[in-house]
Amino acid sequence: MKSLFKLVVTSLSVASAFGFAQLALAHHSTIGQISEETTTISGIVKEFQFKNPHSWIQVNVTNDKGEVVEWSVEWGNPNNLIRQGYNPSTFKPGTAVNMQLRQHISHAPLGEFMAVRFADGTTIGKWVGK
Amino acid sequence: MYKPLLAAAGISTAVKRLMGSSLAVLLATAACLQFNPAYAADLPAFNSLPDWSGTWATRGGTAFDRATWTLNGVPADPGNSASGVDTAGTRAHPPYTPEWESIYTQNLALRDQGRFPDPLTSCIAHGFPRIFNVNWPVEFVVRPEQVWILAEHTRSTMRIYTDGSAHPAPDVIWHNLVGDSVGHWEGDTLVFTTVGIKGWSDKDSILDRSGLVLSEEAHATTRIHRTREKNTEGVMEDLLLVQLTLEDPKALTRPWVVEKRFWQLPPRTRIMDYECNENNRVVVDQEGRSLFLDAKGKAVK
Repeated sequence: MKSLFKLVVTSLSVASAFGFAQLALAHHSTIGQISEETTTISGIVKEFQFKNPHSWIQVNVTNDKGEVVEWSVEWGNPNNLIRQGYNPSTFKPGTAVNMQLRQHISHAPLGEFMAVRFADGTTIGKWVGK
Repeated sequence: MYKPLLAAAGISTAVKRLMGSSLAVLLATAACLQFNPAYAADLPAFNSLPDWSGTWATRGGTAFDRATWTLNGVPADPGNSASGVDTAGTRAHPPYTPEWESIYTQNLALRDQGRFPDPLTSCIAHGFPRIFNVNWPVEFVVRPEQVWILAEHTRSTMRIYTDGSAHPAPDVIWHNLVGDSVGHWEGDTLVFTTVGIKGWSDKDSILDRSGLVLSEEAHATTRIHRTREKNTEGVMEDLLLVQLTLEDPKALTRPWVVEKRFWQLPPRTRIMDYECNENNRVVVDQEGRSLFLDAKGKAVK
């Protein structure tokens, strides 16, 4: 429940700035599937799936072996995101991003969005550390 | 005959067309109300009905029964605002019969294991009464003969007939997710009863993610009215107060009264389209777990 709780609280904190503090949406449980640790990835946005019930940010990350791995990062419900001022262009394909997420416990390249920092320093979400 | 008047007033063709269309709709509506016996008598005047326009969202969390709400298996603290739990409203443990208390207890355990198969995860509509217990916003359309609750989630619409209709006879009623609702106005309070509800499993009606369920024999009396209350920051807010009296001869030992509140979102907040199946990358497996789908559509375990 804690992971779901944290997802909701993350949404709440993002939403608060836009007056939608009580309008966080959660479509499914993540209990026992998502790590509590923060994982940081750097890569290139392949696709932003701004679709219901949850948006997904697909990021191509080059690993230590030089292989390109496609990560799937789940973000909020697009209806709620658009009411908060985000839109399908928030993550444009080809954009370089540093992203923090909570990864699936299987270590699959999949997780829940926490924050993103773009090349110009613009940050969405609460970035942990420097 | 209104066209010369509009021309004299210098109103554009586009505006005239718009007004013409609106006038046609008004005339058709008036004709319907005048000549349709079903709408002829005993309906309140439109301008006597309360204004519930705008977009509304549930205040507080999405559990009716906060007494069992947990975070990672630990009871949530209603006094801790960070827990997402507020103390507004009457929320108590449902007065279950021993059999249904056992079902509920099992569901709570499944919830804490991430194995309660919530229909919402499979894009099933919330239905009634859960329509008052999810975080997706709703609109209320108040008309003399019906009230519509237009929910964003799965584009659900709940119709409450206030035209003097009665519920279908018990032997012919068709149980469905929103049930059958008929009601009336007591001043500015909408009062309606709902029968014929069910859950997606055909066995029960799931009220929230905690696993709170009622049987197919559940029915409810709902009262909704507009009110003003102070929020947790001490600021007065416009709210819609929903008071539900749930009765279930199979599952409950006595009527269970719960309250939910809707707060008004900022002006011009729009309800968006919600096609839940468009890109649902979570599947529920046979053990009730919600599994993510990776970039290739493979379930991640």
